[in-house]
Amino acid sequence: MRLLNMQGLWPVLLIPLILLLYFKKHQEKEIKISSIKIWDEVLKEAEGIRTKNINKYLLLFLEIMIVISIALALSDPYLVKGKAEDEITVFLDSSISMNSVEKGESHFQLAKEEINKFLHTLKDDVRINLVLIDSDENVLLERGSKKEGIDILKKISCSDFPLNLNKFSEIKSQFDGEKVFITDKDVNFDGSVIKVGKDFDNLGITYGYYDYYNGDLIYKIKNYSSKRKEVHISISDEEGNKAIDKWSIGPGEEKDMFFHPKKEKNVFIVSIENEDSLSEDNKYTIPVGQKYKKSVVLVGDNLFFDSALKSIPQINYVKKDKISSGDKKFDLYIFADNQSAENNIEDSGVWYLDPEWEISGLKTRTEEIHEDEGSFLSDLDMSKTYVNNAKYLNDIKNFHPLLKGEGGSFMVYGMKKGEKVMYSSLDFNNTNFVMTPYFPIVIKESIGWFFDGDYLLDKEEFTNPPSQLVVGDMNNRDANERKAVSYTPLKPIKNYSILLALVLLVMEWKVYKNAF
Amino acid sequence: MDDFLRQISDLKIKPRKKLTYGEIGNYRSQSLGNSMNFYDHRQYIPQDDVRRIDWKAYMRTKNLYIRQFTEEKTVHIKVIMDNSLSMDYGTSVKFDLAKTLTKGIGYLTLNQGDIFSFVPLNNETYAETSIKGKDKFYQLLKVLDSISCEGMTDYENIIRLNEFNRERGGITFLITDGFGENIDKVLDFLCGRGEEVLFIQILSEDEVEPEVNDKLKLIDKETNEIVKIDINRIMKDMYKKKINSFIDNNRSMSLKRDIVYTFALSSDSPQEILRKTIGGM
Repeated sequence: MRLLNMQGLWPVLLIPLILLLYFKKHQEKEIKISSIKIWDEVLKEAEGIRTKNINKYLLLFLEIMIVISIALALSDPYLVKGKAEDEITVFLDSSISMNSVEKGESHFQLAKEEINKFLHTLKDDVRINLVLIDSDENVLLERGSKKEGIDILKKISCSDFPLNLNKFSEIKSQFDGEKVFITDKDVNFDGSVIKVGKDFDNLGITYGYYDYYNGDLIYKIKNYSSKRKEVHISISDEEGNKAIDKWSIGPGEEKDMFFHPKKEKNVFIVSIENEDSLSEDNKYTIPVGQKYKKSVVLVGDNLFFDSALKSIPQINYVKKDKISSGDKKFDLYIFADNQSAENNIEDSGVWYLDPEWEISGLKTRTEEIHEDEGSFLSDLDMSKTYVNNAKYLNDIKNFHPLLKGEGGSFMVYGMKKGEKVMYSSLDFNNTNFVMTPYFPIVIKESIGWFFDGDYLLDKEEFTNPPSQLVVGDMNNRDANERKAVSYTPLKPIKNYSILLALVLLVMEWKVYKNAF
Repeated sequence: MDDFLRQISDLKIKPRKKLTYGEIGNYRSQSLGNSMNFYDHRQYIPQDDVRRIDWKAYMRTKNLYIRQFTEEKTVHIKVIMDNSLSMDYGTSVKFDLAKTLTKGIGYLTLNQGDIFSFVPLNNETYAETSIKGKDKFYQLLKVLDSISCEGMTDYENIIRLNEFNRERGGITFLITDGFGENIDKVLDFLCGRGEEVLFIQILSEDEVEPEVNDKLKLIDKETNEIVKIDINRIMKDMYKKKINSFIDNNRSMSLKRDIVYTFALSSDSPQEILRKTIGGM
């Protein structure tokens, strides 16, 4: 057992006083009375009662035990089991949920206090590893001293990212010795877990999206608490127009919600008006306007591409005849008419529609077009799609086929000089592909590949909460974890000491009542 | 003291039955004498006082009759006051209350022209000279002030006293705490001597409701006997039962003998005690 607050032991000083009072009280007192006749009779009658002395010593024992229990409770005792290790790794959950505020203190603050307490209980020569865990790991201290650990704690704060348990599982196996994880979540861990915070009374927005086709705002709200909650939602735009909504969400439930704004605006902000533990996930910004969209330029003429790109509302599409050095930078360049990229396209994706320098030869026959099963178009079924006078692309190193025919690839994608590049050899004037519903889908999916599915610019401008507070299975235990040596953590026993003091007080009262 | 005497001055100590013995005084006795109260006629016998012949009766009957009158006697009031060492106890000392009561009874007795005797009670009991007349009250006060607690309680000493053997009848106040042997014998003796007995038992609050705890060495004030006792709640309860039964026993013993019994705590008002005791006579 270790005591964190040695000053709390001062009540022990009262024990000599109790002993003094006890023995003074039990000193024989001499009293002269009128007649001892009646007391004599009482004494004879009470000869059978022999428990009194035992009770009085029991009373003294109980009084001392009460003082010790109170002193113990005040000195913040912790129980430590198992052998003392030389190296201890403290993993501190710094994910978004640790911002939760409970009784005026954030879970992260509580966690820091717990680590502080924990570090104070350790031997001075123990080596400390301190690792922050959120969606990634951050090793703050490796085999440092207790003092270094305590100093570092003062400087750290928690992030807006979720806790990634998969990442955590990888990093924790890299450390030896005792491992302690301080978090506000109920997670399985082969070391010891110090849980901070009691209640997570939170409503959070986990997702927000604007459906350009229907003009709907779609968002998700999750109730993390253990009770059904009525959530008050406000949806506002950049002009200050505000709509209010109200829903009831069951415990643990995540609810999809829709809102149809009258007009498309630049930005919509969905806010939860309820006060809860975590305010960081109560606001979600959904950028909608042109200025937030990634820009795509079609350089040259291609009627089919022009039409397809115009039908994609998520992008800021521009058509140009040629690119000159003074032009603004685009996120994706699509070169038609055998044009090649020149200046100003660094850090952007490029799609070449008829790159003669990558075309191996012309086949005079008609070829069927198929999607490649390993590509991101594998879900499409492009049967009965063909091209006349098919031209095939060269085999380009590290490029993957997207559309292909019997003699080779019509469309390939891959990385060139660190940027995403796509080549296409299809003659759009000699194929039924452009007339099929697959064509705009292929264009949209391809642009999605260039942008990693994210069509919006400057995401950092809006720090939206993550879709999950914890990534990974909280109850998952792999085989290695099961084999891990179980380490019993410091266990606070303050409450037990208080309970013991109360039980002893009741016992003392009973004994006192019987004795007198 | 003056207040106390003023407050009790309306009380009178009267015998409940006709007196048989005693000097001529204010109370109707069982004998015939020279009072104004006609009692009866009887036939003249030679040597009767001729002044008592009822001549009117002779004229009607031609026989000589003597007129008889009742006799009025003085009552002899005695106070047996326990001044043994056991009375020197209590937050309000029992002996102080006993002395005050004795002064009150003495005052009432002398004020109504009766004879008052004061008998201190311990193992060296002696009787103070009987006194009569209001002017003797100061003498009584001096005697009472000079007396203190000493010796042991010995009720049987009373039986040996001339004061009770010399004459019969009268009123006797017994003021004691009752701690002593053979009090029943004394009560029997007094009743047998035709005394109207009034028994005032005084105990201190500490004796009725003891507040003592823990380990005690109890010393008997009279005998110096020692009892070592480690008192607990059960023992206290037992004591309370026993002291109550001791009081009840004295009460029932008095009732059986037609004795007026009054229980008083040493802190009680002496005026109230006297009203309770004498008021019932």
